Amino acid sequence: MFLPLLFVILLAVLAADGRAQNVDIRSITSAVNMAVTSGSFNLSTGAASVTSSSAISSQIRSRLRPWTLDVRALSSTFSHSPASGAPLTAKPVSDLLIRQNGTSAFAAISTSNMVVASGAATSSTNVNLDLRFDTSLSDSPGNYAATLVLTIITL
Amino acid sequence: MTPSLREISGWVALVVALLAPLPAAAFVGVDRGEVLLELVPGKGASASLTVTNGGDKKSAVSLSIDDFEIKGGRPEFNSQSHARALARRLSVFPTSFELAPGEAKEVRVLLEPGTEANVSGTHWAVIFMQTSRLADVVPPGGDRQVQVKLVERVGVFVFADAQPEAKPLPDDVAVTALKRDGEVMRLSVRNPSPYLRMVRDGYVLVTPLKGGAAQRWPVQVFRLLPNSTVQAEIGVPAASAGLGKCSVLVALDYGSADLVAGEQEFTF
Repeated sequence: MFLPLLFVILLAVLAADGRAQNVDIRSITSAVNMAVTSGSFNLSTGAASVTSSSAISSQIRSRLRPWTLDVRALSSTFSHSPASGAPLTAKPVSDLLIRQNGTSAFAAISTSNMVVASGAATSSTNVNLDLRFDTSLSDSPGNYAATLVLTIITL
Repeated sequence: MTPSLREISGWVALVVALLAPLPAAAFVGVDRGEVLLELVPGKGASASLTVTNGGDKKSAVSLSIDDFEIKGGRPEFNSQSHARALARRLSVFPTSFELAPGEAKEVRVLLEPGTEANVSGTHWAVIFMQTSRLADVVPPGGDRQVQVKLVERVGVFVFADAQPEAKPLPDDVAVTALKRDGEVMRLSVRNPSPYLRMVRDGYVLVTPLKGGAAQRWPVQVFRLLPNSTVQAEIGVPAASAGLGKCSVLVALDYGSADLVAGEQEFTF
C-alpha cells in the first residue's frame, strides 16, 4: 500500500513541476554588470575590450521540437548616464558583442534578432553566453545600459 | 508486504530530490509552440494557450503579436507585412497579467473573420510572451560601467491555411542536401509549396557497406516553412563509431502518399 501511495505522490510532483509545458526559457541571470578599469585600456590605441565569460546563463526547455535562441537589443544605442561633468555619449549597442560560451567568434548585437544558440528537443538545456564590451578613452565616462531580449522559438 | 526502512528512505530521498528548488527565478512557459487555424472568408476562429509561471517568483507577462518574414528557411522577426501576413487579423486576450509561482492562465487567440478573399496558402504571425522587466533606471555613474538587463520571450507561431490542401499532400518536398558536421548530420529539405508542412515522423537508416547490422536513428519532428529550404539537425549516436563506410538513407513523412527520401555515403 505504501509504494503505490508514493508513486501517486511522485506523479503529482512531476505534474506540479510544470512538465506539461511545451516550451519555456528560464534566465538564471537577470542583469549583467561589467566594469572597465583603467588597466583595461591599451595605452597606445586608447581601446579597451572587457569580456565576461558565461555572463548570461539560461535554461531552455523545448520538449517536442528543435529550438533556437535569438538575441536582440531593445535600442540601437546604450542608455548613458554620464559621470559628473562628462558629456552624453550616443554609443552604438553594436559595441556589445555576444557568443555562445565555447564558441570562438563574437557577433555584434543589434536591434535585429540574431541566433546565438540552437539545439534538439530537450527537457532541459543550459545555455551560457559570453559578452564583450568594446570601448575607448574617447567614450565619455559613466554608466552604459542596454536591454537584451532573449527569444526562444521552436522549429 | 511491509517495506523496509531502507526502501522507505530511498523513496523519500527520491521525492526530496525531485522537489529540490532550482535557483530563484520568474519565467513563463507555454503548452505549445504553435497554433493551427483555418482561414475561411467571413468566418472567425479561435484557439487557446496555457501560459504557466514555472518559477518561484511572481511574474508579469505581456503578450504581443507580430508579423515576420521567412528568410533562409527560418523566421526573421522584423514586423514586415506581406501578402500572407496574419497579425492584423489576430488578437489575444488577456494581453497582460501577473502569474504567481505555479499559476497558469488560459489565453484566447482570436482570428477575425475577414471579408476579402484570402491568398491561398499558409498565412502566419507570431505571438510573443514576454516577462516585463523594462522599467529599471540607470543610476548616475563615476566610472565606465556596463549594465545589461535581460528580458525573456517565448514565441508561439500562428499558422492559418487558406483553401487547405487535399490529403494526401502532393509529393513536392525534396531532400536537397545531407552533410556531416561533427556530431550532427545537417539535412536540407525544400518545401516549394505556399503551405506549411510538418515532418511528423522519419528516420535515418545507416547500413555498413562492409556488412553487419544497420542502425536506425530517429528524426525529430520539424516544420517545413512555406516556400523555403529548411535545415534540420540529426544527432550522430556514439554507437556509430567504427561502422566504416555506410549508405545513409533519410526518409521523412510529411503526409504525402510516399515518404520523401535522400541517400548518400558517409564514413563513421
